[in-house]
This record gives sequence, structure tokens and C-alpha cells, in this order.
Amino acid sequence: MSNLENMTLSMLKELEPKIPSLSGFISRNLVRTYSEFVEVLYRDIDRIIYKIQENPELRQNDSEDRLTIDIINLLCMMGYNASHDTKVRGHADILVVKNDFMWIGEAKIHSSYPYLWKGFQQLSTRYSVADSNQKDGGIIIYIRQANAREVMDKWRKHLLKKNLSNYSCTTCEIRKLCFFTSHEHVSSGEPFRIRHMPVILHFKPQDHGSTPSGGAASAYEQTE
Amino acid sequence: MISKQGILQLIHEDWGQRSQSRICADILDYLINSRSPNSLYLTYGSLRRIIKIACEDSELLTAVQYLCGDKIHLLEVKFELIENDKHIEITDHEIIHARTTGQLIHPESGESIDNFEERVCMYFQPSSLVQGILQ
Repeated sequence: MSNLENMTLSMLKELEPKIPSLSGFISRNLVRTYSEFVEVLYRDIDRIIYKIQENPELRQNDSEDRLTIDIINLLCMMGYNASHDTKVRGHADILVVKNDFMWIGEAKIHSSYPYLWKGFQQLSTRYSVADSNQKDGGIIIYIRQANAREVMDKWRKHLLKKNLSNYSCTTCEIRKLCFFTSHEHVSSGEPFRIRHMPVILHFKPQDHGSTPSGGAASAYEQTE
Repeated sequence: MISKQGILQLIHEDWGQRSQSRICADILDYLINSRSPNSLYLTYGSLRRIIKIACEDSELLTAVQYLCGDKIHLLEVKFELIENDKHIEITDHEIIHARTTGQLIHPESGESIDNFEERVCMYFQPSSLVQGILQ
């Protein structure tokens, strides 16, 4: 292990592959603006999602809350002030606070696009106001059926049909399965940017006899 | 104002039975029992000597990261150059600039340092919250 007495920035970086949750430690501490806060947060949420996706077979029966609380707990361990069900004009699934900055997330297990739309509306019209301290929010979509790309593309098309004011949509450059939408927030009249983030929980190995829990994954194959 | 018990509860909620719970508790104890916390200069090495349990470095590092975070925020991350036993403080602003440009401007000589990540060390100081903790 490195010299703990005089730990340089490069030594800390070298430890990141062994201790992945240390990744971004310095960046998190040097955040000064809202956009930096959100950028660093998204990088960390992606890391957590990648970690969760490593064991989908263990997640087949997890509820929306169970999955979301695990994400929040991992954010807290990284040092985030993150909480579940905190009262912000309602009970938001995920609230991350840094000084005055706020990021609100809504999480849904994908079962239908109207259900995701319900989450979008909760986030956009109940919990947020899109003021300068909370210009961004996120929707985390747990996907147990096959082809997350197709789900995200269909969700994108579904949103387009909603005729939201000043609506735009862009693909995320960091994680291609994610996309950003922006629309005029009804309460503030300001743009509200939402990152739509899938969590791939599909698990249906094709090698003979290796599906551990039998029907759990296949039940979600019928969703579309 | 927050109580020591309140902080311990938050730590336990996040870490449960993991070693980090105990590491954070030991550091909290050390900070609030220090006569002049503002003058403390803490490194990962000195923090390791404070804690009373045997633990992996990875557990220490993640516990310290947690204590530097927004939820508990008992520790502030600081940066410095160490040259011939001389400690030269580097401000957050200087580090941000260096990370953006790839070059650190030496605060005393004005010289540009390319490999600054190999030369800048981290240390920790108690945050302003520490003195407000009710025992």
C-alpha cells in the first residue's frame, strides 16, 4: 500500500482500481458550481450503476425502494449527503444536497411507458422547481427485460409525443444508454434538465440450466 | 449544532457493522477531545495512528473520504507541496486551476510544475463543524 504519510494526488489515483469508491474523491471536494456538482454526481451514479449491474441475478426480486436505497447508501459512503423519501414538496426517491445545491431523482422499475411518465411528472411537477440551485434532476430506470437500448429509445419517443414546452433531447456522451431532456419547468419557467439513466437488471443466461431463480427474469420478458 | 450521538448515529446508518463505523467514531472522538482542533495537521498516516482497531488501508481511506464529505463533514481536504521539509500550502483554487490546465503554478517561485500530481500531497484539518459538536 502507498505511503500514508505523504499521500500525493497520483498515489491516490493509483489506488482507485483497488478501491473504486475513492475515484473522484478530489473532484467531489473541489466542486464549486452547480454544473460541476451535477457532472461529478453523474459520474459517481454511473459508477454505482455499473457496480449494481455486476450482480443482476441477486436483484430480481428487489423492490424499487430496495434498489434505490442501495444507490443512496453507496452515494452516502462516497460522502454525499443523499437521502431517501425526504420531504421536498412531496417525498422524493433520491435527494442529494450540497450546500444550497440540490439534485432530485425519481426511480422506477420499468413496467410500462405510462408508468415512467408518471415518474417524469412527479419529478417535474411535484418535487422540483428548476430554480438556479436545482436546475437538474434524474430518472433512474431499472430494466429487467432484455434490450435496455430499445427501452430507452422507446421512452425517448414517448417523451417526444408529450409536447413539453421548449423540449429538447440529447444523448449523453459519457454513457450512451443515457439521454438528457430539457423542458420549460411549469413552476419557474426555467429550463429543467433531466438525465434518464437505465440500470440493466436483465438476467436470462442462455447456457443450459444456469438460471438460478427460474422465472424471475423471464417474467419481465413480456413487458413490452 | 449537532450532538456527538447524532453523528455516531448517522455514521452507523451508513456503515453499519463495517470497520468504517469504528474508524469514523475513533476519529470523531479524537477531534472533539483535541484541545486546539484548528491547529491539527492530519495525514492518512496520523489518522491511522489515532484509530484503535486494526483495519485495512482501504477501510481507512474510504472512512476518511466519508468524513470529508457533505453528510458529516468533520474533515477538510487540504493540499501542499513538500520541499526539503518545507510545507507550502496549495489552495483549492490553485489545484482547480492546475487540474484544468495540467500545470500547477508554484505559489512562491511562480515556476510551472507539469507533474504536479506526483508532488502535491494531501492532508486534513478539522472542519468548522467540529467545535460546534455537543458532547
